Amino acid sequence: MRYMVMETHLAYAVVLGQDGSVLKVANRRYQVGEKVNDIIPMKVTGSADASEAVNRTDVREIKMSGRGRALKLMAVSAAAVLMFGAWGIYDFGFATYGSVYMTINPEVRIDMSRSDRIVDIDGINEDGETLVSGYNYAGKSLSQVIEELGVKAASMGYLERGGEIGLRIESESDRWTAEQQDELIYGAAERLSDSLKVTIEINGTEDTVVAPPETEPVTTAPETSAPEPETWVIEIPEVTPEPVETAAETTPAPVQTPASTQAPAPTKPPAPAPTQTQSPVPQPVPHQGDSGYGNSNYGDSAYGTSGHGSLAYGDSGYDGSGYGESGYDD
Amino acid sequence: MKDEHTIIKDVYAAKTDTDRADELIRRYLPFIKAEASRQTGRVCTEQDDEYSIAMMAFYEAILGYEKERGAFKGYASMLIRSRIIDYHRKETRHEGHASLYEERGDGDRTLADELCDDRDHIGERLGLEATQQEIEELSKVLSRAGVTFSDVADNCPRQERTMAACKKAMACGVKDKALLDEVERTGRLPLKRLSLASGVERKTLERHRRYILAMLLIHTNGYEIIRGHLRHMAVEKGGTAV
Repeated sequence: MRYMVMETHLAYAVVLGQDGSVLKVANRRYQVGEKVNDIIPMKVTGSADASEAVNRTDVREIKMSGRGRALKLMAVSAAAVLMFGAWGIYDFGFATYGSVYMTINPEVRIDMSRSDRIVDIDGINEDGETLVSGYNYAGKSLSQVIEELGVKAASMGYLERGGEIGLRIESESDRWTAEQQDELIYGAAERLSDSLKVTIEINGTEDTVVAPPETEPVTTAPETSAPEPETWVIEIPEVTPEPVETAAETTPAPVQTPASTQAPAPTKPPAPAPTQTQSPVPQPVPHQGDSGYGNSNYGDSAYGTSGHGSLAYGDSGYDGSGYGESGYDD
Repeated sequence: MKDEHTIIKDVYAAKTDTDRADELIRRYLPFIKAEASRQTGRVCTEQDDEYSIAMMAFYEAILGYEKERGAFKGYASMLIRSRIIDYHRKETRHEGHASLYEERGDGDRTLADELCDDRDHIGERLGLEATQQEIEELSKVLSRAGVTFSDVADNCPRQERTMAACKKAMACGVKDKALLDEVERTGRLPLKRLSLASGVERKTLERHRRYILAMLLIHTNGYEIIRGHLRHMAVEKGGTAV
């Protein structure tokens, strides 16, 4: 077919074919009006025309069928992965997974994420709000926060030497509770009790028994621990020179309850009585008695929170890990 | 980076403005030449087809470039490369054929020089001038309607079926003297009339408005040579003009 050159540009020429087609072709030094046979047509034809632009996008969409579809699919799945990833990160680092309640007189709730990051700190009562106002917890660990809040409380006059700090850990997960308990026992409690000479009671909401403390109590006060489910006052640890502090450290599980009606300090021996009633287990061994308890009930209402602690004591045999369940079997 | 920014701006401006495109191409001639030479493996001169092809590929790159998809120069370079490869593939078909213009061993004479030439050079020259005049005239009429030949080329139907539909409409238009006059006078296409007369969807006509306009203008008075060029084809196929 012959083409008539209609217009020439530097890079291309417009030719009119004998069949009436008008094409852009490579300009091989053509001149207007010339008739040529052999053309090299341009493959992309763009234009400023809007409607033409629409046409072009249509074409591209049609072309998307093969590789484009695969790409699209990949993009979608990548987005899904990202979303789940983001959700996971949020869940792991930002969502509240458990809370630690710190009670001096000011009461403070510390919300923590699964990754042990502190999400929020709230004052529960007025004093608590005063205590936490202006306190920056960003990037700090739980022990650090507890410790600093303790010191702050002391400096604000809420906490006196020899006073008490109550810590309660609440979470859906027993394991997480146990972990936090461990951390508090070996971290904040130890340091706080050293520096402030205060008593710290740590109360897991569910199973309070923690393995590590057990050994010590056994040595110190084996008899006492065993029978009492309800009240635990651990003020006097024999291990350390300062009774108050050590007690706190050693016995995380037990609750020193000033509130509890039953004897606080001296209580150790009397414990058996309540246990028996509560625990169906006939054995003298204290843990078992505990196990019988509905752990949950324990803490707050009836027993004045103290009950848990006792478990720990009695069971020298318990492993830290097993704590919650093992007791039950019996 | 800054350089790249200005290129992008220029390229986007050149997409819609052929003058600016020419200017951009002119500015990048050394780049185009270098790319063409790199592909052909020898120094590329302005006489080479590869050079023309590289320029066209560069223009294609301007039209097809989207800045979200990378740097312009890389894209242009890639297009130049693939167009030259395409060309070379096509050319291999002619391997083993002697070129009329290839220089032979004895002196500078080419085969074409030695063959008997019965062409009427002077006649052709005159014919060419007449053709140029016609084209120039047509171009003027088109520009009054705000259309260039480049637009017409962009607007030309690519699918056979669409082309057939357009031709059907054009055949109706050519027969209608009054319509042709109106087109020539106003430079506008009476789409509705054309659609009713030919039975072609108005949307199709609208989409290829510029092409149809140019073709109908060719069929008004005064473009015998161009019309002859078109008719030649029609006669070969034994059909009617356009």
